[in-house]
Amino acid sequence: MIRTLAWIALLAVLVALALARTGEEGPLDTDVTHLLPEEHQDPLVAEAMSRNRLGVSDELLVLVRGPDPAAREAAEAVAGILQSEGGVRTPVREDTEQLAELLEDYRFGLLADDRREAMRLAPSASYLDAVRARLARPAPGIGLSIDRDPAGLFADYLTTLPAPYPGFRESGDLWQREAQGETLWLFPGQLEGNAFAEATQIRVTEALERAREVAAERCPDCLVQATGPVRFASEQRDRARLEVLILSSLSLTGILALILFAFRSPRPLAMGVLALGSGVTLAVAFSLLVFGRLNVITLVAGTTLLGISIDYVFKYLVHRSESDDGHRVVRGLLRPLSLGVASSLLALGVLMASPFPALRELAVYAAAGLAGAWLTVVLLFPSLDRHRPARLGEGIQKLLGEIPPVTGGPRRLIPVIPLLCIPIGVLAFVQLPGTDDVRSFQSPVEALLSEDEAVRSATGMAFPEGFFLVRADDADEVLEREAALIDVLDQQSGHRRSVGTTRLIPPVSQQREAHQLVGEALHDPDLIDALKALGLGAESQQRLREDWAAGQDLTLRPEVLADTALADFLNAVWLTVDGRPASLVVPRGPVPETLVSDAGEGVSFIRPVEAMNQTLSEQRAHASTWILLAAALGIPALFMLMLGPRRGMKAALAPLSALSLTLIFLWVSGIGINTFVLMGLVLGLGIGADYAAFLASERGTARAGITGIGLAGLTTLLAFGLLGLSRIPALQEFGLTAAVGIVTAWLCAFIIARPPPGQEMRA
Amino acid sequence: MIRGFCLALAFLCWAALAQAGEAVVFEAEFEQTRTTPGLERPFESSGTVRWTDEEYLEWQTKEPFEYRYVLTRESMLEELPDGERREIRAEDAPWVLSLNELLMAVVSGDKERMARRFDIEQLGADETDAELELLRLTPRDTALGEQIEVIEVRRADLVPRRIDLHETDGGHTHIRLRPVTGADALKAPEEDAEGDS
Repeated sequence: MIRTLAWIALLAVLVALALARTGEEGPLDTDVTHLLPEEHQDPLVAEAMSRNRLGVSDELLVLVRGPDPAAREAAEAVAGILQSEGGVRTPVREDTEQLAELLEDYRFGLLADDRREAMRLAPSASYLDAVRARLARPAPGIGLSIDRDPAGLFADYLTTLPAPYPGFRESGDLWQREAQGETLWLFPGQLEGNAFAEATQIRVTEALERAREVAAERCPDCLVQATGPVRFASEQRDRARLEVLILSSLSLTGILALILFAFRSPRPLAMGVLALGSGVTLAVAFSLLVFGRLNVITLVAGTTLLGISIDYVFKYLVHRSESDDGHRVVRGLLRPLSLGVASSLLALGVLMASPFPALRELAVYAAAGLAGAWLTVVLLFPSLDRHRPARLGEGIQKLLGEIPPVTGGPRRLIPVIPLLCIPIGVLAFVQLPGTDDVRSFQSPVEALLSEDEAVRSATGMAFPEGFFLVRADDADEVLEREAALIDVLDQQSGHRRSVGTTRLIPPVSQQREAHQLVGEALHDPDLIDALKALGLGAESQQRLREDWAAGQDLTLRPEVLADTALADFLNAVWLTVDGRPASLVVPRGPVPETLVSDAGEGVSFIRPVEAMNQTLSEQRAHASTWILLAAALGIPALFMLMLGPRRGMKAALAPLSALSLTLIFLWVSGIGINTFVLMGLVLGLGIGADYAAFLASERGTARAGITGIGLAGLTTLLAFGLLGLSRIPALQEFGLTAAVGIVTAWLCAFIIARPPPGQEMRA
Repeated sequence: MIRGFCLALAFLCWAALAQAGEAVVFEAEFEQTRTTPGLERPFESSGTVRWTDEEYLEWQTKEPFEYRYVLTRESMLEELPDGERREIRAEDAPWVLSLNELLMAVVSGDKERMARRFDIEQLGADETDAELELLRLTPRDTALGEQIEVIEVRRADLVPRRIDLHETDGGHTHIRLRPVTGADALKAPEEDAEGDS
């Protein structure tokens, strides 16, 4: 009774502490990106990826196409609803007037590319031509008055800055262009919330649905298309939820049917729920204490892993079916149960050291949950379970419990199995290709992909597969290198769509050259006379030269604009980490492979998904090596400690052989190894060690005990093997690996770990 | 962008009155007088203007120097006095598109589109010349309104003769047009349209 109270008190204290630690944000974290590996490479690369991710992931492009004016009305309605109900805002953009105010002092150093080229050849003549063109053009120039910028050079610079949506012109919050007899209205939105957070996804999805309805009313002939990471994330979440619901229902129905068929009583079911429930409670409380918040993915995947603990329940129940005293049953099972738990904790303990947050959180959650279920069985079951035991049905015993031990001649061949399997397994592990891919969380969504393609081809806004990171020792050199890169990109692509700092801030050398060229022109006596002839008086020209002289020491640099309206733009493309400057160039179109492999000194092309996969792969390789070492050294050591050297070593060979067979399966099937496969391997290893420990230490390996292992195996197969049917690659590979792991664990435990008749361990 | 609008406005007077129909070729001689703050005296120029269909607009200055300005759906092209060429593609500069959109709306005779950008007043006969009818266009668009106060168009027989563009900074551009060809082509559709209404 004291033990029972102590266990309940421990649970209560942990839950109270966990709740006290939970902040205002609540205990559940729905942002899956928090589980992604932290960038362990160069912090500059990590920061660049983070900036790029932020810039790309919160984009929502909505396109309304159809006949005007109805299309415009529909587009305005769509934009209005998304802004008011969907938490979508218009990206901050500076109009030309604002830009002119910000950059006016630097204007003598800012020349449009073609102007600079022309002035290099003949500064004064080119300047005079520009003045004449400004006067002759059938419209006045924008920007500064003619006495402050006679040639309209500053206006040229401003009006030739790249358009954010090529081919589209701005109209309020919308962008518009004509195409093939219809009008395309683009609403480029920016999410206020995180695209991967459920609340944001729901808000945006609902607003978009309503916007489509309203658009259909306003313009029945219009087509509304939308794309952006939030749409894909939302669709994936809904799909995953539906799939998990279907698979869990199938799994739960199967497990319930199996338990009722085996025990013909609902009590074992209640005990199973109690053990699992206690395990989940402890796991949640402990994880909250350690991490502060619990990610919903950890909760789901971790609870799945806790399925291992149903083994403990079945072992108790099948032995209890033959005994009237629960305490005696627990005393008899303490060693095999503890050995099983210890070996599972050993494998999970290795994962806890992983730098990959998902694995770390999962390991802590599962370890705490397994310990909780084990403590429930050991401390709570004997006190609560005082009724007449539920008897095992004869049918299930015949089906699962009458497995004869390997005897006679074949028994001599048993040592051959680990001798063959383990070396080939090690070879397979070395040869297994890494298949880590963060995209394996997703199943293809054809409808969204085609909508995405339609929007992006209409807007010319190709989703960037990566970005260039430009580095140098100082900021000026970064700008030089970036300008050279953008030149090449423009030439190769034939358009000016790539985004970078030098689109707005030319390299310092160019600014100085521009300033020099303009000064040369303004001081040329011939030009002075020509301007006078055109009506620009001597006083005006003198003021102009004074302005030019005042700007001589002014150079436009990113830090100058850090606190201006251009801060958002700069924040996305310019960064400084530990005093080291760098810039991002985001190409909005295909990037030639030659440029990817060699983009010049200090320039590298970074594909965030590949970089993330690389990080995943490295961390998984790290974790799997440790797990194998733990398996190869830790499990035999544990087993020998608890079962004696000879029996322990022999029993330990069973889970190691099962693990090897699973590795061989992964090699032969081409699945390879990745983080999710690794989870399946850990599950199989934990279960294999559990079965082997149980069979090797079981008193008499009774029919009931064997039935219990069979029942546990079947329920675990139902729980995990069904995931092999998932359309989500990560779940499918995990399910397949777990299924093979469980079957091989069961087989190896019976063949290798089970002692021959007459040599069972005495308690 | 504003510059593009202003250019379009110079031709708005006759194009606005053209209804959808056959492709139109219009050619006129122009004289332009520009008064700009900062300039000690007005700048005067002359040349020809040519407008073809919905695709092409050409402004060619002949005096006091050679200068050519061509606007198409795809780009804006300038040929400077010394022969230097500058081209700005619509893809890279949205204001070229704005101009195109305005022109195309005008050419198509879609008054609804034009009315979104301007309040159009028909003020009757001009005080100085009773043969001329005066139209006043006030920009509705805020950005456009920051540059242009009002545009006055004087026309005879529905063909534009004078355009006055008053800028918000006090600048003033006065354009006198003498149609060479195409006036009938412009006149006919509007007369039909007005006859229908």
